[in-house]
Amino acid sequence: MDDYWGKLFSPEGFMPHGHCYMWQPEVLWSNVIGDGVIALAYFAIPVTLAVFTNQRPNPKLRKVLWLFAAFILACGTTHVIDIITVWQPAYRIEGVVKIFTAVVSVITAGYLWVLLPVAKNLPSPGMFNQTKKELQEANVALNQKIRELEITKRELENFAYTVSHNLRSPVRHVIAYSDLLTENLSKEAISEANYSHLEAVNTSSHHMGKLVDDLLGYMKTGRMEVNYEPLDMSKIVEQVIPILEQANDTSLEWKIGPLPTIYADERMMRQLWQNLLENAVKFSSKEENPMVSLTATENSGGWEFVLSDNGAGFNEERKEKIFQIFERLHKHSEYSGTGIGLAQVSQIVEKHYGRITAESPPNQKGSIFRIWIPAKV
Amino acid sequence: MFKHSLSLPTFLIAEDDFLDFQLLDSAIKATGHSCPIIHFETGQDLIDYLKDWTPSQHEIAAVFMDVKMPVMNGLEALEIIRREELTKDLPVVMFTSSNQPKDIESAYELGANAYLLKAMSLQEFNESVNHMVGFWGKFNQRAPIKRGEPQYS
Repeated sequence: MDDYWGKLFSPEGFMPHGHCYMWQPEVLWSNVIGDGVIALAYFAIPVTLAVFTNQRPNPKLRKVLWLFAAFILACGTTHVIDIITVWQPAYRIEGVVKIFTAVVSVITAGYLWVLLPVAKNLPSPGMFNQTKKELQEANVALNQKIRELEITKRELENFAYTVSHNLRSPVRHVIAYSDLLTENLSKEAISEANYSHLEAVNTSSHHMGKLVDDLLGYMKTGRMEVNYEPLDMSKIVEQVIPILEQANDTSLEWKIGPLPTIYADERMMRQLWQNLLENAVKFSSKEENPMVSLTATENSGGWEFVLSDNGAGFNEERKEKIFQIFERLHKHSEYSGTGIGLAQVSQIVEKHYGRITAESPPNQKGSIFRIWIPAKV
Repeated sequence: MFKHSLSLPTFLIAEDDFLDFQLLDSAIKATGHSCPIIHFETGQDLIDYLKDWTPSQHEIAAVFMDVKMPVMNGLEALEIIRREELTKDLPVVMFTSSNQPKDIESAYELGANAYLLKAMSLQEFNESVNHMVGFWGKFNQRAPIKRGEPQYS
């Protein structure tokens, strides 16, 4: 054995392989050229594999690709040795190269067997195309569903609108005729109990009237497209305040800072300030020195309006509900309302791609509303 | 002597909802006006009446007309009123149940002189009727048609 390793590179005692070909040129060169081309092709394969793994990295395949590259390089080398041994009888080194190639081949073959389940799960182009087709079909079905849902949503909105609109007339009659009854009848004429029943009908009908009108307003806003135009907010607020003071028969301290001109829908903004300021008036007018302040600052590509009052505020724990329709955070006996005003405000803000938050810090009086409207759409 | 009683300026009211008519009727009466009131249930009934009407029969103080009515709605009737030589100058007040700009604009475009919102509050409604009757009744106004005239002249 020592002899083998000692004479690894020695041709001693062997004949070159060319002798076996009887040095016949056609036999010799066909073998040499064949081996040469095979070797070149084998050496080219790992280069292709390297480019492939570089462009499409796949951690699961990296190890087997390395093994495959070693295996194919070793195979190529055996063909190079075959060419050398035609003239140089280096059979010992050829044996070593072949043993190395055999070991790498066996490891690669074994590893491929282990990898079979993983390889089986790799999507084939056929599977890929099938999946793509299924995805396209699912996409079409999904779009169809979205269209159907949009139609259903519109139908529901129309239905709710029509119902409210048709309710308006009978509700108005109940209000008007019970108003007339309350005016024209005296407690003595129909007994105190009956009169209080009549008043209950009257109060409820008025509440129902407000509910129907607010609901109609909410749904009208929902169906409206935003008509953007430059709006001087201070002008709108200035116009809204006297109407509110007159309607609520109250006067309070207004601290209105300089307000900007923003791009928004005039009707919607008027409605927004009317609802927000009406709320502020409603919840602060019972206080000793009612005060409402409104300021605006430029903030992250838009304008932030901060509206605060020193009124009753609300329970912070339930602030998530404040912008939901029909949600009320106060007792009817304390503050009247339909629970629609702030839902409409939030709807208007959303239509302008803005944000609104409400807070009522426990350590101070009143509530703070922050409304952010983007400067550009 | 017959002629005298008939020639009192009259309010014509086209309203299909009887409860609404009653409210308007009592609101007009509450203003203290003693003008006769003639009620029609559809726009068609009103137009049929106006076809046979001549100013020598009686004056018309104003026409109050609901927008939504069966057979012929208020806007269709308004269009006919503005088209006919004899009626084209009559003051017409439209009743609307919504204050949507679209509804109000189309009433004005067809030549309405005013619109009256069917407000939820009876007090608000009565006040509006009071203003309307005060203006169109007392001064026996004639409608100056400004908007929509080229459409049907």
